[in-house]
Amino acid sequence: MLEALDLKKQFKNTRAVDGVNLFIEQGEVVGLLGPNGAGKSTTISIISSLLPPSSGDVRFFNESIIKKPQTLRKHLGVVPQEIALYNNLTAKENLQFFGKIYHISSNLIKTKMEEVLEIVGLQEKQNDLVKTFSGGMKRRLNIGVALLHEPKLIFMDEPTVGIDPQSRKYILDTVKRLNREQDLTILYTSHYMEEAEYLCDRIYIMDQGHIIASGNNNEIKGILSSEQTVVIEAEIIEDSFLNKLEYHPSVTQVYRQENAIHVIVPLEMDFFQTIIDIAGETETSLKSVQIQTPSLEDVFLHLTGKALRD
Amino acid sequence: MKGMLYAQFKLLLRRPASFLLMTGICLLFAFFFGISSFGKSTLPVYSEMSEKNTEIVMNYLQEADTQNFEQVEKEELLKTVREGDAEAGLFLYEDHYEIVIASETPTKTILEQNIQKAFGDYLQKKRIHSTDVNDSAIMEQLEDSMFSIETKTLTNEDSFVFDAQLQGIFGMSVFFVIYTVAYNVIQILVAKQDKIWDRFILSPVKKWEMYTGILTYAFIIGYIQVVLVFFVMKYGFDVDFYGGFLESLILLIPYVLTIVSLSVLIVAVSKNYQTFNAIISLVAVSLAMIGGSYWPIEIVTNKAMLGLSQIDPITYIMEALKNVTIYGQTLGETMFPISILLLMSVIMMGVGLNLMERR
Repeated sequence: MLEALDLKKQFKNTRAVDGVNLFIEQGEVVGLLGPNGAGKSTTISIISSLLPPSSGDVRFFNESIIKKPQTLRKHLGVVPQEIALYNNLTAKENLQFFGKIYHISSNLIKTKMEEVLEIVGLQEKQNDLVKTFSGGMKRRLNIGVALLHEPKLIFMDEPTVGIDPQSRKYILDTVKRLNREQDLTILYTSHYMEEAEYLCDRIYIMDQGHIIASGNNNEIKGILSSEQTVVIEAEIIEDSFLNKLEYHPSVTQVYRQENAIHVIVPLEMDFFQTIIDIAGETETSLKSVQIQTPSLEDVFLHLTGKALRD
Repeated sequence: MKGMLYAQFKLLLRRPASFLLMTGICLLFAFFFGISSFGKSTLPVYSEMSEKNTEIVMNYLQEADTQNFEQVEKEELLKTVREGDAEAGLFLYEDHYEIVIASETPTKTILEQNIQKAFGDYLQKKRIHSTDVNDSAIMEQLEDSMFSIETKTLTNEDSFVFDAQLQGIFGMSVFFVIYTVAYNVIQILVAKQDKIWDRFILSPVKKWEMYTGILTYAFIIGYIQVVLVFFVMKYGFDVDFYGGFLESLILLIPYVLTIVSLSVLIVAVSKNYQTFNAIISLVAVSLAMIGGSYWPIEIVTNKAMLGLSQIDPITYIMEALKNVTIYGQTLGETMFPISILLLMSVIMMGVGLNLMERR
């Protein structure tokens, strides 16, 4: 349906996107993951025809959209990271306005508005000003506006940033439902691994303008299939304890996440005794030690050397 | 474009306060600068002339519409001027006069003109009386002449007709409308920053429709504001537009258009809302000062300021408005300032949109 070929984008001295290749098949939910500044939003802007690439091509049904973006735009809905709504208009008025912009006829617009308000669960709030909405409601309406003209393909740029867990779950379920019931093709960017695991058929991991890994959940996790993650919780994590772990010859990676230390070691290795020994040497009192299969987060860390939300 | 206008008007109806406030402030300033200054100020006069001659000069002075003159003692005159109770005082002598001022104000120029005229008339009559010729015959001839010639020059720096009311109304209206228009044109930048503009780009709406929608709205709102102020002044306060009211309203069209273009240029060079705020305040006040919104440009003598006024749209609209009202010109006769305004509009709009698109 859509493919990006060797996309590059240079901003003065910064190369935001550097040779990105990706494709999206009809009916898929594809995740584009990466930390802040990885180049996700720039990539989305290019493939949605908002920003011309420095080089490379974007093809929609085998037709380049760089010079002829109209075909794509007709079938594309974009949910920007920002709340692109008029705060001083009601939800209904916002939909009415964007409906007019999309040349939806007056007769049809009412039906479309009702449908969209139902999908995003804002029927009862349709006459309230957007500025009175919670962050989650604004995000839902932000999605609703992009659905108004019945797109075949929708790009969602971090649609769950800064909202409460309930709204987040509602949005994720809505996205899943749209894909399943309306066969909507979705490109979803996020820096939440769990969202990608929940929603996406395939995932692209991006860092510093490059795609560093791609595949379905299992394929991505398979990158670390010969390893295991040991999650250690301690009363107080001393630097000496961390250093000893980091410099251990069998350890592939160590990173700290909140109060836990994640240690990636080869699958066949019994690392439990080693941890007990190091804790003893550094006088660290352990709370728990768990052995897990590596998560996408671990894979990401393995590939980039940094946590996804950095 | 209809959709764009729909949203802008909906937003205005939702939040009319800023438009009403700006129009209210404009009316208030036009009132204080124009209507309230209609009450003539009283200037003290001390005379060392004979009683009879003093009376003649005083009568001539009272003919001037802009000020009242009151005869006082020398000490009282000096005290009044020193304490700022009067902007100036006048000393009359048999063959000359002196003006005492506390500071340079537009009033001084107007006062000078009035006194010059009154004293000139007085000296003329005095000389006629002092000749051997039958003065009553000459006076009769002067008063019953076949025709009288009144010379008004627009280019002569020493001579201009000042109407405090119209100066205040025109000056304040064309000044405040800059803010009204500019704060609507900035919606382009706001829409771009909020990514609403991206939604427009991805929609079937063409780019020119996007710009035209917002700019047309800014024009309409700006025009409504100035027309409203003119209407209130004419029908609410009975201000005399010298029969050029309709012409004035027509002249405001190219001016508001120029301000829309100027705003596009300012928005194009503004990185964000904060930068825009800083630039617009600086530009609007500078234009008003240089172009003659606050005081008549005719009293400005500084060559640098006069030079700058040549690239100031306010200079041209003030000239055009005075032409069709005070000086009784037709629209056709005041084509020069209108043409300059339109030229400015085309240039600024072209450069502004180009810059905006490049960024």
